Amino acid sequence: MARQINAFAAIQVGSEHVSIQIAEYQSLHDIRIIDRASYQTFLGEETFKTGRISFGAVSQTCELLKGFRRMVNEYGVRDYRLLATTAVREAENQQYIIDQIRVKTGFQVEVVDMPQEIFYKYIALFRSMQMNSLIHPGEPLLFVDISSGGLGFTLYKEPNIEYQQNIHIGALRIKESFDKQQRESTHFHKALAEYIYSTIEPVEAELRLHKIRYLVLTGTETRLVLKMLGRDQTEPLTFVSLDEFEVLYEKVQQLNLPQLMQTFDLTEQKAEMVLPTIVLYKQILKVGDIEEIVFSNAHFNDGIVISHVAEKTNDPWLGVIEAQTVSLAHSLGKKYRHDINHALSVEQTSLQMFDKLSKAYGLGKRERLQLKVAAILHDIGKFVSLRRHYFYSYRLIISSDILGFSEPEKHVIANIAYYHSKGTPSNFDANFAALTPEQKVTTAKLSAIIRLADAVDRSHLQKAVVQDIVLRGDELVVSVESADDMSLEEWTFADKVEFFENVFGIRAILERRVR
Amino acid sequence: MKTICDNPEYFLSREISWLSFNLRVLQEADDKQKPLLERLKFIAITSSNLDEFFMIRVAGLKQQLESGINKIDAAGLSVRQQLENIAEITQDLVKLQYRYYKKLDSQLKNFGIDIDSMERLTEKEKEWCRNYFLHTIYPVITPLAVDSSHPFPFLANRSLNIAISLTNAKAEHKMAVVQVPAVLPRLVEIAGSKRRKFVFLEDIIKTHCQHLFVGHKVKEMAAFRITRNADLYIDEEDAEDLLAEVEKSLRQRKYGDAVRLEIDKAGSPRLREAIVNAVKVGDRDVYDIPGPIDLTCFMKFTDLPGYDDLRYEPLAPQPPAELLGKEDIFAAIRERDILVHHPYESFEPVIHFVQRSAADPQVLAIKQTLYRVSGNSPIVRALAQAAENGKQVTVLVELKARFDEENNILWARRLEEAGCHVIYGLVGLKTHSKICLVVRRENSGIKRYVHLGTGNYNDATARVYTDLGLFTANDQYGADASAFFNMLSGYSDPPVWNKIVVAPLGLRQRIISLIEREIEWAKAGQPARIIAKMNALVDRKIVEKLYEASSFGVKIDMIIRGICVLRPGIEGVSANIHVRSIVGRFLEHSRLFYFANGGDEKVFLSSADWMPRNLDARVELFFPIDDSLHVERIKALLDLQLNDTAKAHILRSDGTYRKPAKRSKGVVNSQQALYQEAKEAARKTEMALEQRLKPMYRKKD
Repeated sequence: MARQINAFAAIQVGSEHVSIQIAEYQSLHDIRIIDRASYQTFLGEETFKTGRISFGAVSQTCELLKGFRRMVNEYGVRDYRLLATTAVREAENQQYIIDQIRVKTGFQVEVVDMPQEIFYKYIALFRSMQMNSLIHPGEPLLFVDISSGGLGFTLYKEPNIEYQQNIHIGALRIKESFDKQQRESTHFHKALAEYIYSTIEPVEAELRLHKIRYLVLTGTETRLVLKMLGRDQTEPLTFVSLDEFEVLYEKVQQLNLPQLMQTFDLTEQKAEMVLPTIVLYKQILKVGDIEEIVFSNAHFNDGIVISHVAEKTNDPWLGVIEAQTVSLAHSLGKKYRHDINHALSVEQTSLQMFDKLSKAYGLGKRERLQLKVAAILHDIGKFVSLRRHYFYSYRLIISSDILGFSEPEKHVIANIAYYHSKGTPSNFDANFAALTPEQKVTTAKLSAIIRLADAVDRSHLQKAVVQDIVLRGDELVVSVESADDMSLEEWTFADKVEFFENVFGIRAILERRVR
Repeated sequence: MKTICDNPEYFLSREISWLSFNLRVLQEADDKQKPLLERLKFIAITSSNLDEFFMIRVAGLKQQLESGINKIDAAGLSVRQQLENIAEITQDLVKLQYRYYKKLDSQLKNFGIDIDSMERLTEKEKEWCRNYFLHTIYPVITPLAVDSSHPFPFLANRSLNIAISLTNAKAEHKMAVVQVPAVLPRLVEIAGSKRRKFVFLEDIIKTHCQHLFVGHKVKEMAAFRITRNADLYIDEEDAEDLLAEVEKSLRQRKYGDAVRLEIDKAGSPRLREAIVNAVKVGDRDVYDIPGPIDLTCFMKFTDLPGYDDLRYEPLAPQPPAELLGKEDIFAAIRERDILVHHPYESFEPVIHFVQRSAADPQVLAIKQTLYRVSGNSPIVRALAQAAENGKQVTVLVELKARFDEENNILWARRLEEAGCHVIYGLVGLKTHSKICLVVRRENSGIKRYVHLGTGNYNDATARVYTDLGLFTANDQYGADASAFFNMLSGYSDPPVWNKIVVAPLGLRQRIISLIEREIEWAKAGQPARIIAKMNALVDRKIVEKLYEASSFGVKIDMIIRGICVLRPGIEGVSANIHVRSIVGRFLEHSRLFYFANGGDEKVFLSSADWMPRNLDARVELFFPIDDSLHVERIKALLDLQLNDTAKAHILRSDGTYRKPAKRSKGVVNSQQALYQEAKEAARKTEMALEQRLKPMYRKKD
């Protein structure tokens, strides 16, 4: 039976463009983009300069979105997501903008944070590499997304993400960091290179050791660079050798602004972006041992479409991406020398408990993933100090980039780690007070689970093997087997049940089965 | 950058080139093969062409002269020189026109049609005229006195007037002006005559105008007509409401500066001088007309009922060959691209395409550009209907389509009322492209159908203008069409196009690179040839590139109906370029382009002429023809036109045109041949239809 064809619109209010993509799909494998539009705006420039978006720019954005509303209606599309990125995210008048858009166009705006923004682009990129069979074991890929306001590095070694780091430096932000006079100075080029290098140097320290098959580049300025290279800008993927890039780099250095405009047929505005972009690229090329460059025209909206379709059709591919998020958590754990066996034990036990409780207590897939990652990372604070390690776990998680989670989600994970062994979540703790009411409940539930799971492996020796977990009336019975004495675990468990009982309103019982 | 080809001697003056085009039009009036009334129509077309030329081109040059801009044109002529040349050539053209007119006038008598002067009428007929004056004309005319307290009235553009000199009882001289009412037919048919007998309206007025001036005596009379600057000036930057601006500016058009004065040659020198002084035009702008002023009135006259043998045998547009036997137009387009050639093939399918889309429940949206549409246009009605049926309809109405502005304001309003999303063109650019997009929800998802054409969505002109249209369901065109409308609607910046090329975003560049590619092929010794058909060639950069191509041995054939500033046949510059113009029964209007491309032939259609205004100031489309069958069809069509000996004129190096040499094969009339082809193609399948309609009987019967 033919499956129904669905339609979906992904809309982005970005820093330099307001854009829309309308897609049709039956499954993840037959997504067809039926229409797209993109209009240049200067929201980013306004936010980066003044901290807010002007009345005029908001009106213009609303006019465009009204047009997009027409487009959506023309194709009879009902499902949509409208995401606002850096410019709106960083604008002081964010709430008013969102409200105006809702009133004038009927669209609901979601503001995404930088990790999410990079995640959606990563999804689009990864998918495109996968579709083109460019992902092979032993051939690491470095994905670099250069947006107007940020830079995201993601090192992928099939099937794991080994490294992820986002930096607040983008071509437009770089350009705006220097005034016109500085930009026209003969020293600008060198100063720019040093400025960029100082910022991305720590990334180089991490990546230097890896031999990278493809550097996969995406971002607003890739088209500019492709144009200068004289390549077709419509290809989904374009391969460029390091030498070819080097030739362009040398050529650009010789040219001033008017010459750039003439040589490459650019507007003044575009030409002003050339140097920051090309120097940034050059610096990025230095971070590791790179074999070849791939330019991708994957767009933020592609990522939105892909993730929407995957979720709607419940595609197993979602699991692949989730596994990558988990793999990144493991990399982080490894970096902070966590006890991998203990982490796995806690992960396993807590997920088993979670699965028994999720239905009745309204816990979903996202919470399960948060719990899983919290279990992997709950002890990493011990790397910093063995005293108050839960606090350092919290700090490390907060400061890490974990691709696949939004900032609020990451805060929940960090709080779970904070309360994983003791303490009662309370508004006296600044970290907890900052959460929304929903996040507080989630944090409480998940930390109650992880606390018991941690107790079951209190000795870090994996003495107790969980056989079965059963929810019986208002009792959760955890049956374990053990060949050794497990008094420590039993005492600890008994010590920790109170919090669990307070949160879930049921008793938790550790039952030791005799073999 | 100066190139070797950048030399005024290598260019023809565009104004003079236009006048020679109008001469070619006029020569059609002297074609003895042609039925009489059709010849008369060409007299009228010549006049209306000249009117437009004066209102726009001459007015523009005069404005330049007044504001002190003395631009030298490509041919090296100053504005003053151009105006002098225009005046000189036009004087001769007008003389020739009236010579032809008189010939035709006397021949009409052989067929029982008299256009007479008042003196030649019988008493009875004169009486009829007197009554007509008193009962019909008198109530609608107002004489305007000219004296110290009444300045010379401001007379509307292109209105016919009579200047009358009077004396009163004290023998004082006075002048008055009577406007010949435009609401009455210019040629008045006298009832009760055995023959068809007509007199000019102004002659009746002249005969009886004494009635208007009680107490005065009419001394002398002379008809005259003023042509004014009619180029719209619209301040789009500041225009809040373009619709209102165009309306306002239309009112202004009636009263622009005078650029031409036509005076009845029969009038006295004294009266002539008085008129010239009053209208304030230079001597050069005065044309003494040896006959009735303003022959455009014969445009309608040639439709005179009952004289079909004096007109062309009607050529009914044929059902398009590629749509024969196809009932579902969407299915037909899905199956294969469809090319239609008007007016040989009917425009009906284009109308049907929009009508069907308006009614089809699967259609979600229709988007279309409208430049010039006919009165009571079925396309406008269908679009309005579609909006009422709940479809999303977007229409770009170009308000600035010259001389159609008034018309277009009406459509725009009507469409808005029906619920269409109407866009009034772009600030600073006229939207000249002809494209229609239909979005349909089908079982396999969204499907787009596109019609792209070289001519307007105008069912009336599609019977006279030769144009090509392409229907396609190829999604590369579909995506381009969507993106094109997103751009026009202001939702999107121009994307990277799949198929189409859009002016002013690099169309000139694209044309130049296509020519350059031929140069490369020529250098490599591979087939290098260009055939380009258009209405006008004015763009200097392209002409220079064509010279370069010619000098490298690219063979170039141009079929240019109107203006051509390229000077062919100059040794070392344009020796390989041949230019011909076809002026025939149908108005050549399609823009077709062929590039040999080293054997991998490329064919394109376009809405744009190669003129700076089209390439820089208009939104135009240029698109490839993919289907090999269509490529062959267009090649054959171009070939036929290059072999035309009946209606072709060949441009000489000196800017004049000659008739082609007769060939042994006999006379080739490309328009006729194309019609025959269309007819035969249609007949073939008619047979098939008859066979299909054969009743079936049971076997044993």
